Amino acid sequence: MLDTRRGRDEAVVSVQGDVDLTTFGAVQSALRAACEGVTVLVLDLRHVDFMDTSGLRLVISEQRRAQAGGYRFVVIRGSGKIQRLFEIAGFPDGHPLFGDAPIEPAGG
Amino acid sequence: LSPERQADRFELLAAAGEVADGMLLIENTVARLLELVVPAFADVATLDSISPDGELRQVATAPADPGREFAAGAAEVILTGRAQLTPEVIVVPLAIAEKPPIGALSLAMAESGRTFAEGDLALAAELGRRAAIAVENARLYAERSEIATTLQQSLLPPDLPQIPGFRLASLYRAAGEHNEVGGDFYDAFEVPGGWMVVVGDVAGRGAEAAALTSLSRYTFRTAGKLLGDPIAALEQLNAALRERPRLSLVSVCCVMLRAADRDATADLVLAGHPPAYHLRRASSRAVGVFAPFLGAYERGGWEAITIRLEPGDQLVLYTDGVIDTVGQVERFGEERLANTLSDATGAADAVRRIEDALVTFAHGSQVDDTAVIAVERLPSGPAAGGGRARGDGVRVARN
Repeated sequence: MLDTRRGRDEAVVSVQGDVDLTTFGAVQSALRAACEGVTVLVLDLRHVDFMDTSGLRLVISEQRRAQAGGYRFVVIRGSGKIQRLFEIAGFPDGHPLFGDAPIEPAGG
Repeated sequence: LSPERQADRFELLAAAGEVADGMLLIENTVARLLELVVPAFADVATLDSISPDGELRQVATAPADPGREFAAGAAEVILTGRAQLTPEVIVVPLAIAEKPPIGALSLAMAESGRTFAEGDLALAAELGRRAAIAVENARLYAERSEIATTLQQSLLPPDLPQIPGFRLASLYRAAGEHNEVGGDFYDAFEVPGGWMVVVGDVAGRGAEAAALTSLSRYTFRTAGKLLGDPIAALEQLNAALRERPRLSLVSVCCVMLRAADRDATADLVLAGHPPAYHLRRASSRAVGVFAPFLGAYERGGWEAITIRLEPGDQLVLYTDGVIDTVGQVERFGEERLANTLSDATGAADAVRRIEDALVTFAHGSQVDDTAVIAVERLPSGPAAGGGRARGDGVRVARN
């Protein structure tokens, strides 16, 4: 359910399934393992079925870490339901947190 | 001692150790310990301990009613910390390591005609040491569960107050069998110029979440009462959360109710929280301005919207445990909630509808806490006018 791809300066962590209280620890670990030495860390939510506030907590905590670590943290938008959750938490669709294109692995 | 008796004694000590490890309540623990000693090692056994208020109390005897007092030497043994031995009686202090004794174990021979020998003193001393551990553990356990219970009760939602001109109803369900308290909270209290009603959700579960719930509820209440303004109160809570070493996020939906004569309004603020529902004549409308969680950023840009409340209107505040409830195919969701509420006839009815709908819809065990609070504007009357406070019967609010 978790897939990490690394490029030269960026890493993309893709999640499938649910992000909730029972899974967010695993997603967090993946992000923390991937952020080493990157300039951009991407969390891809396109294949997430369900997310609750644990996912938002994770995103805000990663935002903080990115700021402290001097890299960018970008979220690839998920389904309408997931975007609704972000909207409720004060991240409307045009928020700079969101990025569009997935970053392909170097040489790929 | 014969090897056989020696082996019996090892067994006895091993059993006494298990009792010390598995203890729960002082009386039960000690009674079990004494049952191990009588009649194998003595005819009568008594355990006295110093209670928290400093008195020497008999905790247990074996057999349960020995008919005689044997513990005469207990006080002296506790004072001196030195065991006493006569052919009929051994009294040993209950002491852990070098700490002062917390009681005494008295062993006596009676109807069996057996007597104690010098060699029995070591075993008695060891029994005393283990009894001391059992008593101390039982004490710590009792103290800890008392603290836990007290803390839990301080976190449970309060009884809803009577708000002049309004009627409240609420629902609170904590997920998990052993968790009376979860991460959801609600509160309703009077502030200068009106009343505040709040529903909040703290991320996570367990002790950390309970601490955060407590901090949030009481900080918001205090700030609300002092400042009388929902946004100012939220900013105070935000600042308190940001002072914590770990990222501490709380979502909140709060309303400030004001009632003057016939007009009633609610200023409603959301922070990382799903919208509330405004019910009027068989229709429901989601209300609120979306804004960040408390604890996330230094400035959240929280915004209040003012809702005019006509008689019969309702505001329903809830936590995401409602919309995230797992069904057979999907989650309960906002749309289902809106439909469930649309023709609610009053606050109690709205809450009951949500509860019934969730019970019918839910598939599997509940994973998240659920809190709902409904506020209904009553038809204006003498009781509804002027925002009259409870217990403030002399002030004339009309001008």
